[in-house]
Amino acid sequence: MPSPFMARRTCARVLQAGALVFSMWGGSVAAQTGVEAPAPIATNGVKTTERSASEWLLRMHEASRQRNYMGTFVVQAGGHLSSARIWHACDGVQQMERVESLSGTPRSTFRRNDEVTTFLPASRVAILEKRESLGLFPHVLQAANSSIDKLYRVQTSGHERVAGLEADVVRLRPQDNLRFGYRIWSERKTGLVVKLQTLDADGRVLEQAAFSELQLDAPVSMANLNHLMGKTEGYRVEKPGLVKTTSADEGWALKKEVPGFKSMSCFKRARVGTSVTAQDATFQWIFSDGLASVSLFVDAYDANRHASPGYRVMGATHTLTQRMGNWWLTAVGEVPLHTLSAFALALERKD
Amino acid sequence: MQEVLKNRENVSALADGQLHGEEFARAAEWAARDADGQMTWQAYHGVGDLLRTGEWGASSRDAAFMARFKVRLQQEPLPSRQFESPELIAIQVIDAPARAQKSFKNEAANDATYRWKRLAGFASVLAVVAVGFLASGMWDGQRGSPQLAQAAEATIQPNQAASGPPGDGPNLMIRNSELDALLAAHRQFGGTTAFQVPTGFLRNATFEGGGR
Repeated sequence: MPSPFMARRTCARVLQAGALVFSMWGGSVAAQTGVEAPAPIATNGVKTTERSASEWLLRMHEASRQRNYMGTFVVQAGGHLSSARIWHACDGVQQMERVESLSGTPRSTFRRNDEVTTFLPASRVAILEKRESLGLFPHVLQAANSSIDKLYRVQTSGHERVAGLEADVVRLRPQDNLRFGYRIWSERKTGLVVKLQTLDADGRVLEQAAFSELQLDAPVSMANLNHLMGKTEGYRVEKPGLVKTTSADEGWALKKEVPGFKSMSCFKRARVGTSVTAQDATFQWIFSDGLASVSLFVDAYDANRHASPGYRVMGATHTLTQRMGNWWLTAVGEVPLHTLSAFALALERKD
Repeated sequence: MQEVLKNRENVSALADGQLHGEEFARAAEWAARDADGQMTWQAYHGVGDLLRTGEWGASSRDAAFMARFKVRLQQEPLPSRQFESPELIAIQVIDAPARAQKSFKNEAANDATYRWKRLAGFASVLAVVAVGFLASGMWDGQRGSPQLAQAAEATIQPNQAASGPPGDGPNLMIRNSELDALLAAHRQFGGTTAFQVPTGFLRNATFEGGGR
């Protein structure tokens, strides 16, 4: 039990405490403490926005390319909570980020545009990667007939404070049940995303990420981040083995398109301890509807490694595994399980 | 002991809204993950209940409910495999209108209370179990309703889909290094979304997914 001192302290202030730790999730403080939460500034309820979904997303995307900031970022998914300290700098050409984990395994992740270096100090390993996906947008968003606007309906309602900043609240509602919805808090002046929730069809929060504290236009030195990112002395540098390929070259196709999801890219990935040219390299086929992505991983079936089919859920990320003749499929995505099932049913071998 | 007292002090300060930045994150994590932290946090809410309602233990009813729920869940008989197969589910998915359109309230249904967070783990497990049984027809060679015949063309052949010993159903997967590697690969190249630059990269670099 807490000490009498602590209990008294809480007694005296509990009605005004506001349960700050959970208010960042947008939860009603009133429900927990009896204190009425401040009403949203907009009082006319739901209103129609003049921006389309892709225009909102483009604004959010551009905000992160044009502003420096630092803060504390918290992610909750599947009953797990992780937090990290964030530094973000940009100079109109380059974007740099540093993410220093505050929970779990100590690690520092640096990003310079699409180059990513992850330092794992405990094992003295530095992993160097190039993430093509970071360079794909906003080109997709700028396309006149952005499919996002067809798949999601945008709705705004007022504004709320997150991490001390006024933010527009934007809801993206899926037009079918093959994908989840989103609720986004976009800082009013800049458009920066300060909080994001992934919602299921009933509006339940599956996963959320938010800044608990954020300093916009912070004096973050890009030169310093560049220096730290390149400081790999004393670390064993690893580069994931993978080569770009196509589904046709690898002998895979979809019998039927899963509505809204488009093929984005394909890779062959080396399994741990093997070469990417080895027979048992994993084929990865990536799909996206603009907001949610799905990866289909196909391996040669191995009874020792692939015991039984299964499912896994972690926040909004779902995983499905099953055998397909001589192959083993692992489908992963921020989509409902039945969407992964639809992909599994559509995937076929073209020998 | 000093550390425990310090942690409790931090939770107290957290409840008073006095923590920020890294101290905030550490205290929040301790309150959310550590048994003592959870008890301390709940105790403060108990005090709040008492002040607001004059009744002690309003919050603890949640814990009692969860305990009863767990017992009942364990006692429930497992459903037999009489559900629709995943083939049918997939067809319905494509044709069905989104249930998501039914509500125009902006608030998330479970956003208003902390209670859902304690239920979230259960909900995930239940979802896995439920979908697992829904999908169990895939491994049941005896299935074959007229509805399924319609979907047969888009279906993996039973001998292709069969896996494991007869009677085996899909399982809740245990986390392993291979699965972790694929999840990491999905985050690395599969995060092909418009959120990737604004928050996706930060999310993936921050979230470890339950610790290792």
